[in-house]
Amino acid sequence: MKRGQPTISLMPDLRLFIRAFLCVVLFIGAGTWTAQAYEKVYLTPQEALKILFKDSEVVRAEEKILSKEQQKSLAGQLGYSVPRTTYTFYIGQSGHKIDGYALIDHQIGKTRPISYMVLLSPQGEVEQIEVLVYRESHGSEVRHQRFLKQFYRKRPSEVPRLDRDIANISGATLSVRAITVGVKRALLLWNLFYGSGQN
Amino acid sequence: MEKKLRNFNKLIILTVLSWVVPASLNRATAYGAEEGPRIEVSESTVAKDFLRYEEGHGIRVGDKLSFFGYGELHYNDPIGTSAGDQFDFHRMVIGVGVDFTDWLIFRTEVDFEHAATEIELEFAYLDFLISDLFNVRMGSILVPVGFLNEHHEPTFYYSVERPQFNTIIIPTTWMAAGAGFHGKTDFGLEYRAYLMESLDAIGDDFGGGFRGDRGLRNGRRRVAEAPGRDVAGVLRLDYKGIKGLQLGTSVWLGNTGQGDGTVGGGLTSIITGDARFAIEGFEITGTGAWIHIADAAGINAAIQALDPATAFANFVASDIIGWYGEVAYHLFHHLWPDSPYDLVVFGRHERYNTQHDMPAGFAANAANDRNSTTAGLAFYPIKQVALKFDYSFNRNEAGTANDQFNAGFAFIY
Repeated sequence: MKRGQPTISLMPDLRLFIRAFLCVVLFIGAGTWTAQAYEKVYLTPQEALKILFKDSEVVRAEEKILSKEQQKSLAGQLGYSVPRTTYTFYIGQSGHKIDGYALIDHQIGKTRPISYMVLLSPQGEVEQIEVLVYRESHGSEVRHQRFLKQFYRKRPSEVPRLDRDIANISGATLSVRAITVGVKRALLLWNLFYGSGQN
Repeated sequence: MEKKLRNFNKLIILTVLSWVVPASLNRATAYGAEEGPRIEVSESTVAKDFLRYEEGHGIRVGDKLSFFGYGELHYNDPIGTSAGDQFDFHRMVIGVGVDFTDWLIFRTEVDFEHAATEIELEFAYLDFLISDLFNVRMGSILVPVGFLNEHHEPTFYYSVERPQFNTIIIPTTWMAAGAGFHGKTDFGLEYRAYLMESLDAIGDDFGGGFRGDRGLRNGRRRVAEAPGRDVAGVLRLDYKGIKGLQLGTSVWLGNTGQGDGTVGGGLTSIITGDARFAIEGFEITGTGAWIHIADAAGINAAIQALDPATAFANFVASDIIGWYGEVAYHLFHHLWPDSPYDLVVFGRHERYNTQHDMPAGFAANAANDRNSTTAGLAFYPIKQVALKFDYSFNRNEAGTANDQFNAGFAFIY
């Protein structure tokens, strides 16, 4: 406060302003919360880990970061560049034996991302996929195992291809494509970090 | 007035309860019997990994084009005076990235400041990407002094305005024409080494130049027909090899006299250091800078000579020193670990003296020896949007500073 000046009492205005501001904050927060109305959480990540690694003793995490060379190589194999460079791999172990690798990733269906977890064997074959969260009003048929099991046994040298080995679901074409793209990316990422693509 | 406050109180309590109760019910979900694997991954690691779909700086259009940027609206209310109360759409930045090839890219940002009444080219450069360790950059580049200048997007700091340290001491946003190298090693060391357009200590009839109260800030010429007689060398090193810790240091060295005969070159050196540590939802930051201006006496004489009729009293110092320490805490880290929202409370103490040491014969103005203590809240409904408000207790050695209340929002895309 300026010395020698009468104290201008701005405190009531300040309190009013803070309250008004808090209301705006809470209002916006409530808005973002209700906007998640379409969001269906089928599994939390922790639940999915317990399911996918149910026969393992321990699950730990490894954070992997794509180097520039790996980014280029991946972009070449995928046909598009991947902006995300950090990936967390969850590794299930029993004693010294690695049971498998799991990866959480997301792929846009129509406008909102589908979140899923892919479990890969120590040789990099798809063993299981779980859809964690589906955020759109249509196309959630992709979460069913009768669709997802088409990807099982796919490996980095034999990536899934839509309409050739993956049958479409009419009315859910975009989410089918999203899962196909996502699983292919998971296989190639695994290959770069743990498979023959390491060199 | 009092009745309004009481009603607001009730409204807030109701709204908060409508949030907290369902949220706590959510977390009450038990995972059943303890069979299955032992999960040796912390909740926050999983939560952070899961929320990565919200990451993504920029909007890609096709293979080669991307858009990015940020903006912020501020309300400032200096206490004790009704002058200076203002709303300001301080920054509205649009950036474009073009990937000509996967090894040659172009990035630029234009800032429409103060509701587009001032336009600034933030940066515009070409990057030749050769390897992780070695890349070449040229163009108008953000000067790598301090950590905030290169990463100055408003969602990256928790106060409404940037720390005074990054306005008065390090003149963020600071860009200059330059060329040089950058890269990073396997073990977490990153470097930038550039030769760049230097600062202009004296300015000209239209303004510019160093000043006692603003330090180096108006010495920036920002590649706008900037004087090119003097060249500066800059080196920045960042170490990020230890999880949760980021250390950095910058050195900037250049003549700033721009050929003026009164000044013996005006060699200016800037040395900064910064450390940031993050653990269990806390972020602790410390940073400091020391600026030394050789022949500040000559610079003062030269500035006076630009306009002999007006007495120049805002004397440039020989040494400028500033530092701050900040502690921030993500309230939901422990209270609500699965939350996609983020609420940060922070406190910062800064000292900044643009006239720490004066050349002989020039007196300092006590008002330039300043410190500020700022505390506030920042709420992120998504990672890219922040709603903030804070209160700054501002002091100076002349007793003329005003405290200030600030509120605003910021977004990044």
